[in-house]
Amino acid sequence: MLSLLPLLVVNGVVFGAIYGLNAVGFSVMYNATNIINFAQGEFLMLGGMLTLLFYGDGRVPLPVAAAGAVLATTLIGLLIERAAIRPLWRRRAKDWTYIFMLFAVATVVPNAVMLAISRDAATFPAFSGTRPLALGPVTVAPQAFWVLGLTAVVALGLYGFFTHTLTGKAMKAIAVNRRAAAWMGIPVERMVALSFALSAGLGALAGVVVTPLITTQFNIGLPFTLKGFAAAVIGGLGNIGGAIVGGLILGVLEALSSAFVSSMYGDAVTYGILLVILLVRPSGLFRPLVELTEEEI
Amino acid sequence: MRAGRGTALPLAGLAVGVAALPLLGSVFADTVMALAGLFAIVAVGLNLLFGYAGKISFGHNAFMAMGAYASGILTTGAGLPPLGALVAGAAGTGAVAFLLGAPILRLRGHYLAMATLALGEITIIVSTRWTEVTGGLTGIPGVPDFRVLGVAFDTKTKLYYLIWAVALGGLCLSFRVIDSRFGRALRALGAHEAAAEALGVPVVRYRVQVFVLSAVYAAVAGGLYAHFLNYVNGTFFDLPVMVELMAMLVVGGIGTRWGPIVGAVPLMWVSQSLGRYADYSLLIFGALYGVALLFLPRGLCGELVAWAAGRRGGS
Repeated sequence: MLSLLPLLVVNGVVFGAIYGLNAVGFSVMYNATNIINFAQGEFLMLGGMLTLLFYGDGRVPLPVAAAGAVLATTLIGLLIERAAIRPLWRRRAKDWTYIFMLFAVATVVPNAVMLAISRDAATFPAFSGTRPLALGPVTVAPQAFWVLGLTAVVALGLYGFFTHTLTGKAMKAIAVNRRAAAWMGIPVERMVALSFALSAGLGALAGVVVTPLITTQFNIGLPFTLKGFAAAVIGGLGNIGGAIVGGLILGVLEALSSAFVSSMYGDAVTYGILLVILLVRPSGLFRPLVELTEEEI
Repeated sequence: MRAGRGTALPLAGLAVGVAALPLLGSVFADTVMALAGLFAIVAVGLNLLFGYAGKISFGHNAFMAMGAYASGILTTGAGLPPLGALVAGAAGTGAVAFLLGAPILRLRGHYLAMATLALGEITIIVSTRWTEVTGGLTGIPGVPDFRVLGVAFDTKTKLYYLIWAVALGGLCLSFRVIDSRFGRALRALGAHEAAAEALGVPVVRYRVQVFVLSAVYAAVAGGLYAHFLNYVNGTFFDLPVMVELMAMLVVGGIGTRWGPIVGAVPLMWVSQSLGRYADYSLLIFGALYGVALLFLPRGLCGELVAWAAGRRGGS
């Protein structure tokens, strides 16, 4: 069993990177709006399913289909913000209204995909073949490097965005105090829309790179929402680097528990980890990027 | 206080309506309304928890499942009488809610919503895979008809009466709770936890109590559901159930006395009338309650009350 350890860790890291990317999506939106996006996993699902839709059986080159899917998901993110979130924002709805609204979105999106695209599980080819690369004692699918590379690029890019650009700082300012930010001349609604576009696009990207490793289906959104949230909480909600580290920790824990504890209960173990974290240390391991004193409901 | 006295008449009207429905002689109508009653029971409990104490739960489907499995397992496996199994299931589920309540209810808002969602998912996954106890995906067939004091509820119509008797009882109980000192404390707690605590409300005890109460409502409904179908399966209590419950609460009016009933009855008619369009059910429910959040933020009951208050020329 122990000889499997390196392989398990590598697998855990690869899936952990996906959870991390998802957690980054949570964090981006949280940093701008204090909203936890219950539909975050749906963006990942859309990334994979829309790529499949555009790709067909190779009618369109895969990179074009993937780019189209990311673009389309970003637009869907903007549409959700415009149709469902902005009206609530304008009437200063209470926090729970956003939770319910995004829960509704997370219900509508997968069911629309099921009816409009397909109810079956499917996948598309890996980006650079499937010939595994030997890496010391383990062999790794080339797609895994795409996942890890993308995660690194996204993490560095967003870190720079939030710490070094005016737009990134403006986004954080909104989360700290919406009214004061508006008084300072920050276009609040545009920033909120941008945060939806960003986290939708990031979610779709994660869906595009992970789909060749798994199969995608209309209903995979919710597990990724819960796991991405778990990763975000481990890393300190809103902390970009923490989100990635949180994802890696969760991925490795998940891989190890399925091998050494039991794989019978599947995702229930990961959800259990989420519960324990929420109960024991809801503030996570790292400092959040934006420190809030109290979350009102 | 004013609303407290005005409930007797609508309650009597509802009771008469419920009693008269089977005169139509439609088994379909009785079945739909029985299901509406089951969901209304859960919604009444959730309304106390969320509408008054301000604590979200996306995991009450778990408590329904626990009640259903308790009734199924105890009547088929242990040979308990249905009423005994129902009470045991409610008590057991209440005990689980008690143990979970204290730690989990410390969480607020988004965190609580996520935690309860995870709890619900865990329960459903375990219920469909713990084959030795729950029968796994096969479930528990052959749950006997409900029977108490020698009366067998062996048709959908008889069970309909039983379910609505419980639902009306649960509704009355919720009114009693809302108008009690406890209920006022819950509202204070829901409005501002720190302020309520400063005023001497035992915050932790009260929020655990209302959580347990709402879990018991869900467990009773789950147990009755097991007898209604003569069958238990965890997949019946998966997330779609929670979506329907949320839609009922939002459309009816969160934090209003009648909201759970006003939401449950029409929405159950919608969901059961789809026929070959049943696949669209979740899409419709999600859209319905998204739209309700946008255009009826207080739900049908809340908007009606606000409208009536406006007509009266008051604030």
